[in-house]
Amino acid sequence: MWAYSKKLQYPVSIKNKDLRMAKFIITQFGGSNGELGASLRYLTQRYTMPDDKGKALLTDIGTEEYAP
Amino acid sequence: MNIFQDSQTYYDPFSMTRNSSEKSPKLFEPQEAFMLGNLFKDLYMTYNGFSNYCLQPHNARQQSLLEVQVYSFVAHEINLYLDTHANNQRMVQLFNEYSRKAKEASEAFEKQYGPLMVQDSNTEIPFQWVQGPWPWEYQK
Repeated sequence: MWAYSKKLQYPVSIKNKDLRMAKFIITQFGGSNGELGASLRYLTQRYTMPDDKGKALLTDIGTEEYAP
Repeated sequence: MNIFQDSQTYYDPFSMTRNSSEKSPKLFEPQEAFMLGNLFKDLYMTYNGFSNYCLQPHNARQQSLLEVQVYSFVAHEINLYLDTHANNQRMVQLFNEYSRKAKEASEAFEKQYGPLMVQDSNTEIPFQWVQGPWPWEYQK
């Protein structure tokens, strides 16, 4: 169902190594309340949505949470 | 929108719908919206002493890509809005406008720096799509 493009949603340019910050960022993405988990919840919940709004919104948001 | 308002005692994700079912939401200019990560003025709240980084492209490639990113972002924000407000005519018009701008910017970028989507690769040998840089690779 998905198409991806070779660009980021927001430009990133990492100038220095910072392992503590890296830990925060990976937790934000893959942690217990992270975007990865959220994306899977949205993309699974959408199958039980009764209306078009819900289906569209959960698919769009789930995609956004999932895409790094 | 003030989430600490007394009248709003429950979480209401669609409050924007009911407060302004006919009116269109106030929007930031594309550049500013991209910087803030939010197109909608009523949904933006500043965070304690935090100021956003003002993006400055260092070369022509970054400049060209930034244009694609800004217009794609705005179009995507409107897309999310329209998911729950499918009958807002002005927002549909704006969506068409910014999708078109994003498409034009993408075409301009691709002409010079290679494909952004695999279907925009030409049929040359070697296949252009596999050539870097990829977005996660450090670029000067």
